[in-house]
Amino acid sequence: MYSLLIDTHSNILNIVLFKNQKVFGILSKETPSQSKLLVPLIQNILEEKKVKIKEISQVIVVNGPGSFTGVRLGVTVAKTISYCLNIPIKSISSLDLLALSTEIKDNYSVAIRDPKGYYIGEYSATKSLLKEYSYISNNEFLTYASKNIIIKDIPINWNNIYKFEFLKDEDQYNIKPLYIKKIEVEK
Amino acid sequence: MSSTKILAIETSCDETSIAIVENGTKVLAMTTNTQISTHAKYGGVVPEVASRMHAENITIVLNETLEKANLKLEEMDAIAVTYGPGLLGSLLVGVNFAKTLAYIYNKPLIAVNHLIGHIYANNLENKLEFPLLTLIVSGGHTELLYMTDEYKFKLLGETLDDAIGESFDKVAKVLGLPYPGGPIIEKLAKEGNDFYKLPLPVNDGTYNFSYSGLKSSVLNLVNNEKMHGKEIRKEDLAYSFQKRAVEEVCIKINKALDEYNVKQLVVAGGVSANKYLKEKLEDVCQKYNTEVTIPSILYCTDNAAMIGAAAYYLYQKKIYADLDIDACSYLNICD
Repeated sequence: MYSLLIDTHSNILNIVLFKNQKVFGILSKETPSQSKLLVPLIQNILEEKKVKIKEISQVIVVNGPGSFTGVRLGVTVAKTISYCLNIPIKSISSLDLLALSTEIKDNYSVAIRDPKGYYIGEYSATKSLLKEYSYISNNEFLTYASKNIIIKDIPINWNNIYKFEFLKDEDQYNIKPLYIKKIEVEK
Repeated sequence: MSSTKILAIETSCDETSIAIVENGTKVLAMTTNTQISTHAKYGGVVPEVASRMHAENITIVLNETLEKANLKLEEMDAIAVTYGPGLLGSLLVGVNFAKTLAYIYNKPLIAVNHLIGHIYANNLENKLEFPLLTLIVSGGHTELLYMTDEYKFKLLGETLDDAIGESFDKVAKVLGLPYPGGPIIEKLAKEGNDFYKLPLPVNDGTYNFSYSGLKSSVLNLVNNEKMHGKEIRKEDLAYSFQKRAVEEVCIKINKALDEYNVKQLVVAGGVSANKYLKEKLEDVCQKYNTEVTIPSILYCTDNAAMIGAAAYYLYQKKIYADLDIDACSYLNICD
């Protein structure tokens, strides 16, 4: 059983192919244009691993928070694959992705930076989410970081994706990116 | 003759539209999800909101279109998509959606210029006959082109500042009218007279257009009247403004018809829905025995069927796009 994961939340575009819930192939590319490379990278990894797109039985998308355009494109492509192949779609947040990649044995906060601030997720030692995600400014982050254990910029342990309860079942018509940060007209 | 079915996708602004077009002329099905009511709350299109709504609605719109046509994606001959010009975030959703479909079903991907789509919208109802003049009038564009054959364009002139549709929307805003203001100006003008003295368009002997001066003079007039405690007669101002705006177009068309011997004047873009403009253009063209063709409302505002119509020529010539194509928010018709 193959599943395909799409991660476009940052300027590093990750496409991960799982076989029986274990990593079977990864393509990572730093790019300013997710739009240009997203579909070609999916094509590349499947060709490289000699897997046909129709053999994919599950699609997973990192639905944010992070680059608005990035996660929107990731979600769009993932749900289109889910629609066309009639296969289930699951989501995982970018913060959960980092949370499951640390071995820390204490309560901790995961931080993902954007130009004006940080997206924050707070987790217990057993990796359960303690409260809703938030977005804080660079200044607020300085104070916040002095009072909390911060996990950021760590490599992602893709094999842990299926080990914890972070994957969420989604419906391809209703899945939404996690934007978290408010835009001007929402304020 | 075998039939070619193209699935066409348009998301360049605030309409999520998908159509299936046969042989570039027959619309088998089209679904358009308009976001106007959402953006009306903000007084204009908010790009980030538009992009979000495209991403939310796109597979729903696809599904509805396939159901209406009773066709499957496997039965399409190609996937066509608007890749520019337009709002970048909105275009990106459509382009990546199209690339995914083209990849999964192994179909040719056709990248269509939105403006060429507007011109080819005419093919859905009234075949283009060359040589022709084409006038694109919308919220983002005011361009006059000469076409000698399929996809052979010569740009004669364009706006140096605001687009004509943009000036309608801005004047509507000054008058306190809701978004989108163009159609409301037209409606008000029907009840008005040429009471206000607005400057005549500059006739500089070129084919270029200019609308910011006219817009500013409306703004100044409204401010002046307010300062003198006078009530603005909205109907009259709408009339005077529309008259000048259309006059600007007619002067250029007149000049072009003097210079070029054409069979048709093809009007494209959202403002071509304006009946007053149509009437005035017909008056000008009558003298030259030139036919004015304007698509019906359904095909002159943003829609995917026109993209399918424009894609058909590219399909015949096998002009396909690669899967690494990107959207372009700025794109000229002659690129």
